[in-house]
Amino acid sequence: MANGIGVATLRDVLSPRVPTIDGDDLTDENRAALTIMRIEAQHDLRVAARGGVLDKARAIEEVRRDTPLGRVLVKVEHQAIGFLKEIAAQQRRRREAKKRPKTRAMTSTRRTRR
Amino acid sequence: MSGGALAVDTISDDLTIACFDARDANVYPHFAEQSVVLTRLTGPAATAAAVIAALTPDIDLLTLSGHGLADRILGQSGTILEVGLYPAEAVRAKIIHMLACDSGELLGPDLVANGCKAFFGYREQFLFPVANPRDFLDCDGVIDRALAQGLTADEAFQLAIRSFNRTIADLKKAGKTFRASMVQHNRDCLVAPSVDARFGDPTATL
Repeated sequence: MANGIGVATLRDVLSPRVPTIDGDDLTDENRAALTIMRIEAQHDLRVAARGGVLDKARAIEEVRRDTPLGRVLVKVEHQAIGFLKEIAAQQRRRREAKKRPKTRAMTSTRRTRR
Repeated sequence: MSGGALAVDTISDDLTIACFDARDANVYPHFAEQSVVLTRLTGPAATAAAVIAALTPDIDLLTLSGHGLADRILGQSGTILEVGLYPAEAVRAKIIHMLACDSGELLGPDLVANGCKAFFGYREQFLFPVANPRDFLDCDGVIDRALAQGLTADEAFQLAIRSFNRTIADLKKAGKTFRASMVQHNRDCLVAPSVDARFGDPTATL
């Protein structure tokens, strides 16, 4: 959720300028709604589980009905969001490290000039 | 090592067929390499009566794939194993591995209370992508392979966890976060003697 008005993008979540709530701070209803949105957005979903293959429609139904399998899907989806944040934060750190001036290289240049 | 293993696989739908295929290709051939004598009950042959009859004293390991509920394992024609409805001598001094949802909840501790040395199973429902069953099934297969090599229950568990962690890291690196998350969920549901004493002795070997 971004600014209490809707669903945040990953960019929003990572931005210090956009107030967002996620993870454990979301209500169960919000977590379920977000899971359903993300399942709907998947190109294709075919997951083997007890009771047969879960396609998008059945997965959404399980989440809506708050079945044990639906709760597993909510957990898995939110863990996946956590992984996405982790990967994006790593990429950001790498980009920022590249932008920083290379102190070591400058020292080495000075030595060469002597 | 040598010894006897009973492999039970119900093949009733896509999930159980994927489990059977993975074990048939990657686990059972390894048993033969380790001189483990394998008895197999597959599909409709895996009934409660047949499984109990096959659990003779020369069987050291029962490895099973099928649908599980907290207190029972379902076969193609009814329940295969259920809390309170099997003779204790059938499971005494054996290691039992169940690739079955929820089996760690009540059935696993009940088997151990009745003399099973070590139990491996899952305490919730597991799931895996139909297109990539090996994400999960290769990790689970590590347990049987390690036990067949003569490793302890704890060593088998640690190797399996390492395999889960490697798979999760590889999938995350490839940006496959939903798949990685399913593997992590399954890893977190795995129960074994190393997790809790209710699941037996971590030093148990075949």
